[in-house]
Amino acid sequence: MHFNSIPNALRGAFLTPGESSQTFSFLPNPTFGLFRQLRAQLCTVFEGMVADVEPRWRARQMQARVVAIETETASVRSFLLQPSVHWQGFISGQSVPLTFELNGVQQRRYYSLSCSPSSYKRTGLIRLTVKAVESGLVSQAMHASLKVGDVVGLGAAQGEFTLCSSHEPSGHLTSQHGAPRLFIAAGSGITPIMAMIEALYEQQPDADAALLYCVRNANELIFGDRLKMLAEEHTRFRFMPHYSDAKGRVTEADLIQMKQGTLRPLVYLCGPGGFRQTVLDHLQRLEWDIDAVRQESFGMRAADTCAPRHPGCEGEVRFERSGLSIRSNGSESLLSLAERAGLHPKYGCRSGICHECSCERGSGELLDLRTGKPIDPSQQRVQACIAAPQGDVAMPAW
Amino acid sequence: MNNIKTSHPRPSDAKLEEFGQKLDALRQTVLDDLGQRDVDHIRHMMRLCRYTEIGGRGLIHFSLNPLTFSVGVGLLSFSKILENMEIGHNIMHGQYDWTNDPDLVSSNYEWDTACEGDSWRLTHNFEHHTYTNIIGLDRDYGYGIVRLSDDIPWRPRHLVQFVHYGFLSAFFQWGVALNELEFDRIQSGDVRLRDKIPFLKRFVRKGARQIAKDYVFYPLLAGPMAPKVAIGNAMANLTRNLWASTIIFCGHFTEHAETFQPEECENETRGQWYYRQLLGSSNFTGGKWLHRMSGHLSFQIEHHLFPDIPAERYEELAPKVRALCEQYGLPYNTGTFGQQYRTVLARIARYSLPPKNRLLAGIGKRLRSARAHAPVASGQRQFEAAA
Repeated sequence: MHFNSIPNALRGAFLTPGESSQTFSFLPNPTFGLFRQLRAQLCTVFEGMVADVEPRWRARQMQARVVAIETETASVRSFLLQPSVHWQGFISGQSVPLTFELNGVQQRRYYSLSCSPSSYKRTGLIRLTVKAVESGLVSQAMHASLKVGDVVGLGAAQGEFTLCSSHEPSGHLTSQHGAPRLFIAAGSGITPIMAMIEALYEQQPDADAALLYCVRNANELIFGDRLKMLAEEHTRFRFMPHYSDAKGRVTEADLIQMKQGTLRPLVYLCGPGGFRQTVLDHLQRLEWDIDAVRQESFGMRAADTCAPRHPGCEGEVRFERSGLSIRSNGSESLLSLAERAGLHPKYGCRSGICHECSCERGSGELLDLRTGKPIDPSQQRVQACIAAPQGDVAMPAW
Repeated sequence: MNNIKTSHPRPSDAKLEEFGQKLDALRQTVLDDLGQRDVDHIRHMMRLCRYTEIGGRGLIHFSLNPLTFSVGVGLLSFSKILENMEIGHNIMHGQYDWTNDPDLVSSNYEWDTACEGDSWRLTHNFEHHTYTNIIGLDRDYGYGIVRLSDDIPWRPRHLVQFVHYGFLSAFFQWGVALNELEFDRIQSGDVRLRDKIPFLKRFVRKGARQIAKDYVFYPLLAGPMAPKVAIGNAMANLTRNLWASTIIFCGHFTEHAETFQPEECENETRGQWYYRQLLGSSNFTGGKWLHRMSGHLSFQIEHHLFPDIPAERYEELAPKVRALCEQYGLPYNTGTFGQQYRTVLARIARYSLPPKNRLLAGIGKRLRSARAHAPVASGQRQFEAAA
């Protein structure tokens, strides 16, 4: 098997970033070489056959192979993946759509990459760190059944929560040289921040940064050893774990303690909504410039949860591509709503037989008008003629 | 649809709704059970299709004697049939939309036949499956070429409709591809040719690609042996066309498959829709591979009741549907492949003559109805559309 051919030494190198100061770019390679483009074309044409030989050569649906699985805490595991040969790389802090087939259904979830782009360049491996969420269908299944050697779908990296965004090239790092970076994370919100810190110290070993990492107790600390090691290696990196079981919520004093010197810090914030709001409120009271705060939510995505349902409940239906929207009464079909809003989607039988009106589904809850039951949130395509929006719904394709 | 003409007693509306609810419940039990094995099945079929195509094309290419050439043609025919019937037809019905797999999603799929995917989804998934066997609305009913019911006015050309049927079968993929053109309605002036230009553009694009593949690209790869490859590909296409046409004719044009009038089906309830699908479709029995090669359209009744349930589930659904039909005193039209196809041929022959000639056939009919009172061995319930 292919994954066996990766020497252990390489894995080690991946886990503890080496000292060699290689030149690298934070950005995915924009000039995808001619050879790679041709190869991608060829792999697209022969996708079916290619998939039988080596799934990682598939081009239309990129695949990655699980190379190693590491236990971080009782409920958190890191998956080391070898991405598709066509995969274009990432910027630290970005996330990737991971497609995991569960009983025949392809479930897609977004996970932050918890490694630096340079370690991917060195080893060809990426790391996804996944917490098994109690009601999370996919994260639970990944923990329970994903094995070394398995193949999962892995899409292109995306996201603006990065050490330096794609809009401002890596020059950002040096131009802001001197300004301290304050990373504030809670729970598994550490994953993109770990990637950023790793990338930062590979690029700038003398950078000034602090990490306030809020978890319940020491057992829930993800990447604890690595962070402690980084703090030992780099004197200007301060690692401040915050155990809420012992110390309660994060206070303004914690934030003040974090900030040393007088320069305006760059703040990176990642955690659940409530945590982020608390921190933002503190920052506002401290009169720090919260517009400069980069933040990202994490945790259960809409597809992972199912909000309480009120049959026949009203809401706003937004058709994102056309920019139109309309009120729904909870019992009218998406198709008829779209038509009343002035759209002309393709349709056929209007009774759920022919699938002519099948369309991509966005956020929000839908009811199957034939059965009166909610449509499974994991269904990415729905028949618009028999789907009635419940509450607010967004439709990306119309 | 209160005036459907049948010889069996038509159940009351309440009974039909009850029948419909039982079918809905049956449908739900299968939907709840969909999973890995359905995906494994279709992927297995796709893999088989892929490698038989490679094998078939390879043998046609490098064959040195008629035997290996024939095996090559056979493999390529098998691959094309499997792709059209079991894979393309079923995926394009949305039977695997629930998997979220871009390769298995109906609106993405483009199959290996002259009929362009969007045109098929319109004329087949919508028109044929919604208005099944309604004369004038279901264009699949005779494809505007073959007269299979007295509701279609007789014309002298119908006398030789056996010849037309032969041509339709041999070039079936082109017949299906041109279905959306509605040639007969253009002739009668109901539809303007100008409105069909967008369709014709799509038709030409897809058709040209199919011709280029089988009659230009692969033959050219063989260099001086190009004619051999073109002939082999033509034979495979012919086999596929004849097979597909035969299977499809067995689905709705057997002797007892009923036809309907548009006004009979206005404001149809779900129960009544199920009822019409049942009366308009016919099954045939056979082994695993006959079912697979027919895309499980051998379970045409189940397919028309549940067009978006993965087809390989029809086999396990069939006994349950049949039991429900018996419970409600409804016919369930089935027989062996041979029996059913013979009645198709008989039907084509019968309706090639004008209706008045059926007066002569009246004697024969009386004989048949006398036979119908005797116990039926095949389990096929006999009922006759009243003239």
